[in-house]
Amino acid sequence: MKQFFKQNHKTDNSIRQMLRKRKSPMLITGIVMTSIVLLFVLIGLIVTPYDSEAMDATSKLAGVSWKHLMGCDNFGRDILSRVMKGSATTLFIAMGTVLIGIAFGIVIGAIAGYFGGLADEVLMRMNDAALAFPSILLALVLISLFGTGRYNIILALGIAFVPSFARIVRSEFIKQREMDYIRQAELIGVHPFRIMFVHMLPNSARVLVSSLLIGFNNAVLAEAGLSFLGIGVQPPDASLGRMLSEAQAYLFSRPGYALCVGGTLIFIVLGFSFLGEGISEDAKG
Amino acid sequence: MLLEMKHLNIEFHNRTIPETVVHDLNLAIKEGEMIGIVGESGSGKTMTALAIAGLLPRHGMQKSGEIQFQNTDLLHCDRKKLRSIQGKDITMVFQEPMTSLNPVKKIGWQVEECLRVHTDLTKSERYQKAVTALADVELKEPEKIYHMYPHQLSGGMRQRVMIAAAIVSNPQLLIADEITTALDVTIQAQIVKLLKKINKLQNTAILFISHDLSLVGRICDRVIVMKDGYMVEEGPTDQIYLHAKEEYTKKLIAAIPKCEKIQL
Amino acid sequence: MKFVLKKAASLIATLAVVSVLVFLSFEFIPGDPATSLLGTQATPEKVEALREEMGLNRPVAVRYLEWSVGLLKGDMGTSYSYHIPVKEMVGDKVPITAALTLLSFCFTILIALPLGIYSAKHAGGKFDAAIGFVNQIMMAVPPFFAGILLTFLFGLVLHMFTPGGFISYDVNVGAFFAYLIFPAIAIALPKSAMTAKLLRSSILEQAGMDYARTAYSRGNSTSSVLWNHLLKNAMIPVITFLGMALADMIAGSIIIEQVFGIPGLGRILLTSIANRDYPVVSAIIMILAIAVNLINTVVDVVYHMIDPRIKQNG
Repeated sequence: MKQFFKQNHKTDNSIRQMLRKRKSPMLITGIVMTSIVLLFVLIGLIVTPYDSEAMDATSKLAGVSWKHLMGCDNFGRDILSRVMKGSATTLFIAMGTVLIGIAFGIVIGAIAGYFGGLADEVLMRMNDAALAFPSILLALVLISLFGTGRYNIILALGIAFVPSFARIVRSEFIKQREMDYIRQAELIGVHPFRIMFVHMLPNSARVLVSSLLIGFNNAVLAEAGLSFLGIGVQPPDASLGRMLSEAQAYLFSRPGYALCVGGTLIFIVLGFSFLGEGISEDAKG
Repeated sequence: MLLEMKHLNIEFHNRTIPETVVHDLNLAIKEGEMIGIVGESGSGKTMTALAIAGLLPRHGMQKSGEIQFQNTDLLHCDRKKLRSIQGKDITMVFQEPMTSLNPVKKIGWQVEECLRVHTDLTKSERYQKAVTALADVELKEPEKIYHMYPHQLSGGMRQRVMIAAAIVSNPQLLIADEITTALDVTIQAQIVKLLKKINKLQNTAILFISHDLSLVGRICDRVIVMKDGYMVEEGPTDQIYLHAKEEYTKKLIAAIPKCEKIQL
Repeated sequence: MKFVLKKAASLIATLAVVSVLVFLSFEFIPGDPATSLLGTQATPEKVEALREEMGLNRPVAVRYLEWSVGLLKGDMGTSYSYHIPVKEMVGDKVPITAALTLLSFCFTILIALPLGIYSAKHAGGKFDAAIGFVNQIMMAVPPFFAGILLTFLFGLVLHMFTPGGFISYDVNVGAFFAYLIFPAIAIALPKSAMTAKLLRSSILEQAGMDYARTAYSRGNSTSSVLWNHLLKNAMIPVITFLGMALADMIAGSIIIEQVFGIPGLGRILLTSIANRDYPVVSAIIMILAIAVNLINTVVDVVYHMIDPRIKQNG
């Protein structure tokens, strides 16, 4: 009983300490902004003000009003509803991309970093050849092979993102490998795969999380770019990039269209980049 | 008197609780004198040295008292005046030879720097002086070393280069802050001998800061013992070592390994 | 010199690997080029005849060798959709994309270096905070949206250029570059924000090093410590980043070309991807790969010149 109280007291203290430790303003801004984005998207998945595909000939290119908070596009579709759907598409694709990238990146990077030698040499040569291309260019090539559409985009971008993740994981594992606790684990005969994924991976979490957020942002931008070029998400799927390319045609008559869509895109990217930087800042200080 | 420090107080303000690291320190250095400051880490030795060299940060701390050097108060004079003394009359060698040299600049360029900043010597005159200084610190093949980069030299050699850079402008005062700490014992002895030689050769006053009493005892004329920012005891070296008044000094002396014979 | 040779060798090796990958990936795409070329007129006999004519029936290795030797000679094959040599389609577009990329790179350096140095020197000040804030937002603006904003502001509102009024370099070089200014700024803005931020933090990191204190102890002023000591060290990571940024800008210019209606490599690449015109796609990919790898090699060599420490480690 006494012990229980003691322990309880201790936890209480450490929670208080955690709360007392001032979070960086950047982290707080990041958390708030990403929460807004996620809320916006979640609501959009359940309900949107209008059907995002419903065309209304009477309100073609309508301006901002209480009826249509962001106005209407050239087909008379409600832009706010489409932005909600489009953001969801963008986030979905970015998430899929990052998942593919990080899953393969961890496996390749871990094997190359932990075992070194020939495995490292072979994997990293291939990695370097892939890294020689900017990821968007690589994605372009892959799309020309796979074709367009949301799942093909995820696959193409995901593969294009593997090399950079693999590189980060590898260098982190090489660093960890030299540490005494890994040597200790090797000494008592822990299986290499257990060392890699149970011992080393959790210790690389901080680095992985911040590179994951950076990768997420890059994926958002890459998807928007590809859709803007018309080789990304295909209609009827709404996408921020695609909407921007449509908005460009009406830039003079309805600049608000492009601004609303572009503003949303910037807000999403900004939120995640604040979050990423806030986390790495928090880890330092 | 070359340098007179009166009532020096240094207080940090960038912590949650203000922390005084040097308390009311008085110190005088004569021309050509070798003076030692000993004390454990955190005793305020390095802060004192940085105060004399004018290298204390400008923000986050409060400094009071005065440091008189050639009718200038180093603690309160303007930056321009201070810079005209730094590197010309007062130079400093630091603890870490591995990181104190600029990794992307040639040795010669770094050794010449005080001359480039403070004098109008021509390139060839600077080269001559730099090579002489490198030879003075007993580096072999100074002309070759002149064209090398720091990463090509060992720690001991780099510390010699640092000393060469500090004596090239014939300063009045050389501050050596723990310069032997990062070196092997055999090299420590050579460096200490070198300082003694420079002191004799150029009549440069040397402020030798160390936690190693045996090294200080070997070369200094006078010793100051510091603890927790206070001066514990001050006096000629033999007096301190043989007839210490304070209990703390006696303890320090008793802690010197016995197998090593102190040459006084 | 030995280093440069070594780098050149690895450049050739990488390009060889890339060329094999590019060739093979277009080899394994579902669908037969002869069939798609003939479109609705495809009959088994016609397809077979065309396959024979195009040399598609020969072994992969032979065709790869032919293709790569052709590339080296400047022969990039024939377009499926336009039936003209790829070289004719692509050749006069290369200078356009190259000019756009280089101009963007120049802008990046012109914007980023002064900003980064200034905000590092005045770190903690109001101006530094303002630059930091603007930088953070700039980094989040996708180049194509920046392009749209620039088109709106400077093209439609201020009439400083005519959107879509591209003039080719063989007509009027001055007007050509004048038109490229805003697209180049659109590419350069996010990159220069990143570069400035990296340079600032890199300088501040160097300022905390022991050798910076040594420099101060010799009577250097803040500016001379910055210019003579810190900058060269601080540029080392920045150069690596700039190399990657330049490679990225090549890819970025493909998108920006669409925004501003510039008929460069990007436009042909996109139409060829849409038309499945693989000889054109693979030729453009190889051109871009060569450009990117050349840049990487140059960066390595520059890096090598700046940092004497690498020489020993090879």
